[in-house]
Amino acid sequence: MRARAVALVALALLGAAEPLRADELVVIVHPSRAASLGADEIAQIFLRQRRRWPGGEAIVPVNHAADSALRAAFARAVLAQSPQQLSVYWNRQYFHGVLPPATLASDEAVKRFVAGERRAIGYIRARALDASVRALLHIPVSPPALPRD
Amino acid sequence: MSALTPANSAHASTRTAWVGALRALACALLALVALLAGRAAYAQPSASEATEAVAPTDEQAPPAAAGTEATSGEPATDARAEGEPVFVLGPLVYRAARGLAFGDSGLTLGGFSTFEIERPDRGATELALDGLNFIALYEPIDSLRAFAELEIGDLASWHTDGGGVESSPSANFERLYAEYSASNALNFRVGKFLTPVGQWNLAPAEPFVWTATQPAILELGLDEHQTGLAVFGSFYPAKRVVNYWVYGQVVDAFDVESDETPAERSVGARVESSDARGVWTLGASLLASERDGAWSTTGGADAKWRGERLELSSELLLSGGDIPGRDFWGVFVEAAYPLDRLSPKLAKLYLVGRAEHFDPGGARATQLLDFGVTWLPRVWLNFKAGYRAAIRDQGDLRDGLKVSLSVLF
Repeated sequence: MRARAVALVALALLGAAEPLRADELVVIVHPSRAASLGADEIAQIFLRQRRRWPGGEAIVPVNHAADSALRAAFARAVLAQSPQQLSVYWNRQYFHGVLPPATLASDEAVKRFVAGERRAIGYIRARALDASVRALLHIPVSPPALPRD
Repeated sequence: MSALTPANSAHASTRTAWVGALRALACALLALVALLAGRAAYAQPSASEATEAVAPTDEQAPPAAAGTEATSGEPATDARAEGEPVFVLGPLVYRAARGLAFGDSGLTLGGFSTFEIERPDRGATELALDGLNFIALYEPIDSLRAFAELEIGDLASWHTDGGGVESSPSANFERLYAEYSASNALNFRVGKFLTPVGQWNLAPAEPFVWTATQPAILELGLDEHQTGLAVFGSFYPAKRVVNYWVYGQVVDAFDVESDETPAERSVGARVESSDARGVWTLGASLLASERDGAWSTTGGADAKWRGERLELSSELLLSGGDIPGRDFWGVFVEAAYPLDRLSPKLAKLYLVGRAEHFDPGGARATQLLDFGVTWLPRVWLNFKAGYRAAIRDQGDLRDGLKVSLSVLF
């Protein structure tokens, strides 16, 4: 009886948590990466202003495609810039030979890449998270909710 | 003008051959890029088509992204990156405004070009293909990079007061340096680079600034380049980014343009601080220069603020000392504001303006008001139209209209 009650409570909590998780981004790194970073540091990484992990290894950020709703949500929540502002920013960086992060086409692709590359950092929908990568930071995303893959 | 000595003659001959070779290389690169861009236009959907497409699925992802190849090394480039035309031919990946990457070699080639029309209120109108700039970036390993910007200048111009088309192409390395990165905080650069004074001079080329004209204090008062050494890096105190540069011109200036008289030696420093997302940036610069035994010192302060829509920036420069023509001071404030909220048809159209006071020392001070529009319809295309009102005309600082069209490739 007690076990059943615990299971019901757990299910209820999971059910209550699901809508929130559906509207969360998760910044992910390789499981062996112990670094702890906040949203500000992550913004610096994706703007290529911070180029090395604390140990000195190069950071390899991976982004989603330019027309991805997930990327737009990330830019809004973490980089606090509009696509047009980012376009201007990256053009200026191009002048200095600094290129934007490479892009991959889906949560699954980003997750597989990060799981296999110790230097990498990326972001995916919370519901796509599994044990192959380490969650570095959960980022609530304001409506409109993220579309499915 | 000095007589042409045998040594000078040999130097001139060598230089002519060098320029000729560079021109041939530039033409070949231009033809290649044009070919790639042309083919890309047929091969890829337009940006609007890409935007309307459904969200990508794993099945749509390129093999290297979704499959096993993505588990090591650099990620493969998504063929739809940045929503702009892309050309992929084996290891060659071309992205508009991001250059042509040669597979995993670390080599990227790109560039930009600008066409200008200048119509002063008094005087002849000039149409000019101002320059063709090629950028080469080579990053063989994480900690090493080499960078070059070669400018083919004065390609062609035509004045309405007659004389036909003038063309006297010249090739100059605007930048040519190598870098070693030891950490975020410690990087070394050797070669020819832009003088780190203020924010404008860090990216002074036409496609990367808001206005069709450039501030007088930077155009007339500052050595644009340094040839020597620089140590630079970033620190991250209290969620901020603090960038610093310490540099010096320790050898004679390299590949000087014919209309420049740069300092022989110099030493300078710059520090700038911004929040993590670059909303606020504040900087200070100091540069001491020596020419013919005389010294001048330039100091400056600058600020930039980027709101949700409005961008404001300002720079102040003061210079004094014994080098002739280096006594001046000036300050400008510049603004850019997007008009897309007024109408969707005005998306990517900006109102831009700059007010400047420039006191060139020894001459009368002038005030300049530059205002106009900048349109960024695509990431690789940049159109500007602006009018300059000068309180007191001084040489090139005169009333008139200027229009420019820049392309990044």
